[in-house]
Amino acid sequence: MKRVFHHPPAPTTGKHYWRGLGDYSNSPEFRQWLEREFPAGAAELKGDEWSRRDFLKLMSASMALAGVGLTSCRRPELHLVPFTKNVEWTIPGKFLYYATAMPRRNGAIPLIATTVDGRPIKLDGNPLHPATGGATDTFTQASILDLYDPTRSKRFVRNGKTSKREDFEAYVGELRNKLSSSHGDGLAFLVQETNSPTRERLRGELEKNLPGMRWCVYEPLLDQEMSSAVEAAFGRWCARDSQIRSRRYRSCIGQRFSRLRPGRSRVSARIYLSSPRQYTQGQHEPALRRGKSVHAHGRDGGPSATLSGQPDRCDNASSCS
Amino acid sequence: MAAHSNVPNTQTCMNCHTQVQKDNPKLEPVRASWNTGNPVEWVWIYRTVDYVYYNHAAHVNRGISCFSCHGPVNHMSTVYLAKPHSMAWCLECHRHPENFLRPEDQVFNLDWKPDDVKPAEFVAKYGQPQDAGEDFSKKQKLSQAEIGQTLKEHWNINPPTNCQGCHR
Repeated sequence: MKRVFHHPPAPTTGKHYWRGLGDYSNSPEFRQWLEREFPAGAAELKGDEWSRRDFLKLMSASMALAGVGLTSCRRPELHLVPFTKNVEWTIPGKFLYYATAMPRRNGAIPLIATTVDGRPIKLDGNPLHPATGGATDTFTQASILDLYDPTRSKRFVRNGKTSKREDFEAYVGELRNKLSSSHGDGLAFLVQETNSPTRERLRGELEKNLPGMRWCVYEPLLDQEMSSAVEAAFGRWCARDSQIRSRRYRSCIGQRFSRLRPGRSRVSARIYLSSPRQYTQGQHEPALRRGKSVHAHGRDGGPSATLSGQPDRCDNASSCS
Repeated sequence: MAAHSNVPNTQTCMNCHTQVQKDNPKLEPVRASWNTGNPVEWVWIYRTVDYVYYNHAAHVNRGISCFSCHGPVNHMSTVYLAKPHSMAWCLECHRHPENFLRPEDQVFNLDWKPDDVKPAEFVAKYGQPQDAGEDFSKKQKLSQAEIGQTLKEHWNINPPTNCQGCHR
């Protein structure tokens, strides 16, 4: 309980102790100031039958009574929302695994996606795939978050404003008519490097219909030097497959072993990709020293099955002018 | 019995209710869900927080009845929170499971009473505790403590009371 302190009234008999210089002098200015600063009876609401303290007491009591009936003091009502129709193949409480792949510039990383109720929650390397043996890298592990990215596009947008699918289709139809009348002149695609067969097929179809179009592949980090070196050394473009086996000393000039990028081949996977199950941090080098083979591919060094037979095309920005 | 407690989806309900009681007004929310494709919003009464691991199978397959945690659901017109589901309440049973165990074929019988047990049949099936002073099969009735202790020893039940038993 809060205590209310009051100065005791000045004694009428005996000694009178002054409380300050103003009290001692007791000048009319001081008395005026005192009355202004501490008006007598300020704690009471004068001219009313309720004192200030009574008013607060009453208000707090009414607030407390109001709280008795407040429903918001309970936990909010939550709902369990099951599916209306079952997600195919799922068993409640069990994971469902799908084999999939994450496309990379020079190949793809074979993956197993763990899904719950049709929602992917984890990506792991596919241990049955000979290319990686179940290894993944940090980018693959983090890519699961892309699926739940709040900025992921969910609707059709035109000039920053929500649009409709029909509007988009109308726009594309108009564009197609315009381009086919000019045989694709003025149309250019700026794309990233990939060895997706689907994209190559679509590109072929486009080129057939729109022969004047330009197809430009740009990567900020093309390994132009390595492919030039391979071409200079062997006379033509080819995929490197370095066999580093049972060598006591190895040197790597202008390139680090760790620069062998993911998704290129099994090989790079062995070095670069790490999986907590198979390769822990710091184990790569000892593994190499024990004579594991290390392969490295050249420019198009993805899985060779995907790329073999493809002609060497204009596929970088510098040669696409 | 699975570890996971699942709420069946509308499709499962409608497997039968397109034929059985298909005009029952109580099933209107389910039919509405099936027709519109919107899920039924079941009110979540027994909420186990994410940091608690709970395995239904481990309990139900070892003689803990639905009744022990969910109360007399068969007599509730509206399901309510019958037990607190607090940690102290969980531990009450984990420390003394003999007060709650029952034969596994009575787990789903929410009206089961210890008096329903026939001592001779019970002892023939589950035996009796090591240090039981008397022959249980000769008794007229068995108490919950006697039934529970028998089952506890029979199934070798030793519930975890350490933190990581549930907070894994």
